[in-house]
Amino acid sequence: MAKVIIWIHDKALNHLFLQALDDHTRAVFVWDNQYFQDRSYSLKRLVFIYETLCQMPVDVIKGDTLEVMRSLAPNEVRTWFTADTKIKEIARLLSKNCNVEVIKPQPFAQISEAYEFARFFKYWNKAKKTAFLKNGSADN
Amino acid sequence: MESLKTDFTNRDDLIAYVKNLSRWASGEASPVCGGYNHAQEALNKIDPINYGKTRNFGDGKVTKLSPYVHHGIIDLNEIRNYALDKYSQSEQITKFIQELAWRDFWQRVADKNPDWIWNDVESYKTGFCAEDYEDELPNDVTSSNTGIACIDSFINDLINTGYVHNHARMYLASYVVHFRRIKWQAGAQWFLEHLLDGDEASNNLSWQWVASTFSNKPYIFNLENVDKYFGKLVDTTPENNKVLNASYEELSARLFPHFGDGNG
Repeated sequence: MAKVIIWIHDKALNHLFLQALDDHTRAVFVWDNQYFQDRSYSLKRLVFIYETLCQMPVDVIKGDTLEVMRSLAPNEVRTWFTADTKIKEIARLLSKNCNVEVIKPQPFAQISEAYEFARFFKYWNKAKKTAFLKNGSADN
Repeated sequence: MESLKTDFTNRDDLIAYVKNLSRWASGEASPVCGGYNHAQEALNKIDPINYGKTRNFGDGKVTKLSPYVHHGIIDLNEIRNYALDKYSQSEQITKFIQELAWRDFWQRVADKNPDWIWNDVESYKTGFCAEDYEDELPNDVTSSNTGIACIDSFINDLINTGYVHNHARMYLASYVVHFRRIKWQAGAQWFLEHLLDGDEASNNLSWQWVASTFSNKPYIFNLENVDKYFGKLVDTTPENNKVLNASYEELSARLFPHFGDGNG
């Protein structure tokens, strides 16, 4: 059976994500001081993150994110999508060692990813067609 | 590998543990608590109809869900569905849904254009070029000692709680970029340090919107505006807010004296 690690990062403290946990998966959050310091997070932010973690079925491990994840030697890492550049870079580096599956949330509105928007109201003119539907889709 | 403790009898013990774990971190904990249960509490209190009518006011019916959304504790879809369940007539909650859409918009833009997060998307439309703006925030700003009462009050919110009303964020951003002529990047980094919902995409692109590097014109405000929306909450007396006490025409002429000279 493949060894699957669910990598919980600080933009994905999502309880729903952990409903998929079974005997072969383990959820891990790495308390990475260097990562936090690089972002200059104040204590306010750290406490908020930590008390959220305390309500989740997740192992919190102190260390460097990449080193910890690599030492756990998973066959597969699953994580939650974020637009955050630093987290995307960690996922990219991790993908050199194992398969990384990035799970995207249900889209807020049905808009082709091919569209480029430089102003909100151009986006909104398309988004509003589905933004008022449950799950952003007429299928629900 | 060191596994960390996640079982605490009270919040003070947890805070002490985190302090010890990350001794380099500045400041104190926020009164705003993390966790899914608190996110659900905040969700149960939302008032989307009155949100639409009062969201610009300091004491308006804002949701304060943003720290939970930013950290993925709750997502836009869950909030939208909750609001739709509560209010069957969607036109009543248009503004509420639209505000959720702003976050979706920023995330989409940042995902497609990661270079825009820290770089000017467009040039400033202020009559100044990027080199005319300072790189660093001065101490009087970071220590809430600007001498402008309402601005210092908003800065205190930022530093002490990690939460600032969205309208007040726009005032602060405008003050930093346009009144003090400091690069938006310095202000954006400062917000990311403190805001519990500090998000590279939403935060930085919003700063660019105020700065005019991602909008058609700079956002400015005056004391009359602050008094209208925050007059019950902060000191808006003219004598304690002299710099802001002017008409928009006077402020535009003072802040953007070269605008229209062909520089922006």
